[in-house]
Amino acid sequence: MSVVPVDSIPSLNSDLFYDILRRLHGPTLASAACTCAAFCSVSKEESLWENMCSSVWPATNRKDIKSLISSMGGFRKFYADCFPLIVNKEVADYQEKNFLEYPDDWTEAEYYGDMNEFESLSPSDFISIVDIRFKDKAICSKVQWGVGVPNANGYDGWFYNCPFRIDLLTYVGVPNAFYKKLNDSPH
Amino acid sequence: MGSPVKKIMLCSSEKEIFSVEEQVMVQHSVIINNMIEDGSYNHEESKIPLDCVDSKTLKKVIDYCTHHTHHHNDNQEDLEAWDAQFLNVDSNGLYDLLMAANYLEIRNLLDLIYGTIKNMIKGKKIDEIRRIFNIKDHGFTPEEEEQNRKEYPHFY
Repeated sequence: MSVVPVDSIPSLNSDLFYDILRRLHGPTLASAACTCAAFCSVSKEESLWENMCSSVWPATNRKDIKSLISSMGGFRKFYADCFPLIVNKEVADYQEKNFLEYPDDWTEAEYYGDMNEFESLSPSDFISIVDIRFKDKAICSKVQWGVGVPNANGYDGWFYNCPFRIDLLTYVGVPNAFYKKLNDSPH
Repeated sequence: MGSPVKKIMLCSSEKEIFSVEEQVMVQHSVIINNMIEDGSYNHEESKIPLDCVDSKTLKKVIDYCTHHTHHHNDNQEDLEAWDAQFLNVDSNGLYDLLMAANYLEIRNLLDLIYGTIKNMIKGKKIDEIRRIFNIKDHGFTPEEEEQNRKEYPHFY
């Protein structure tokens, strides 16, 4: 049997591990975390997920949004909530089973330990955070506080009665093709 | 002809001396830039000893810095093609380059190498990633390993 010495990188120290991991996207990072305990512990660094969030959603780079996310359990949780299929148990698993092995709410809350203190709160406000990407480039990033509260910030609570709507409040150098695409959209 | 180009001496782990344009290394290596700036490098006598960089790797690093100094105005495609060709090395070579770039703090070369490593492991199964990083002992307890397999069956 030939066990050829394959293409492999000799062992790295954890600084270099970190440098590699911080360049990965969520799915690859999640799989890298399963390869060894060293990767796994480095992959739990909040700053990795903070970086990742800000590269996917530039709006999360804002100071107010950063502190909002931190107060809700951190960037790792935020990312997991946005991409539950990647970081959490596969949803498909649940659907195929006739009975549920776990209670209905066995989701990221359990995955990340006890986050229950936030669940009893009812939302006092909505915040609209919209990042628009076009051809892999972030072209528009808009944060609007108070969209759910009637008369807050001059908005009459339009979040409540508008299922989906994009208001381009500011735009700088948006490519023409983008307008075209918006206009062509069926809705 | 212009004024003579200022050179610095780099010494590999095999004690081989490489003479390089100062500007080339100053522009790319944070460490060498600091040495020149704080005056710890003496142009008459100093050699910069790079005990953890062998000649073959040092030559590649110098090639990289030289090319990127003199061709930084080339169009992006040409530079990328050059980079791809430059990093067409086996994984030991890649590791040596990573270590050298890390030691000399050559940021754009580090980015390039990390990008390559990223592409190597993207979408790969756990066993393949372990092989790429030469992980023989993953350091998980059997329970943790079992838990991971249960939670992320699609990675295995």
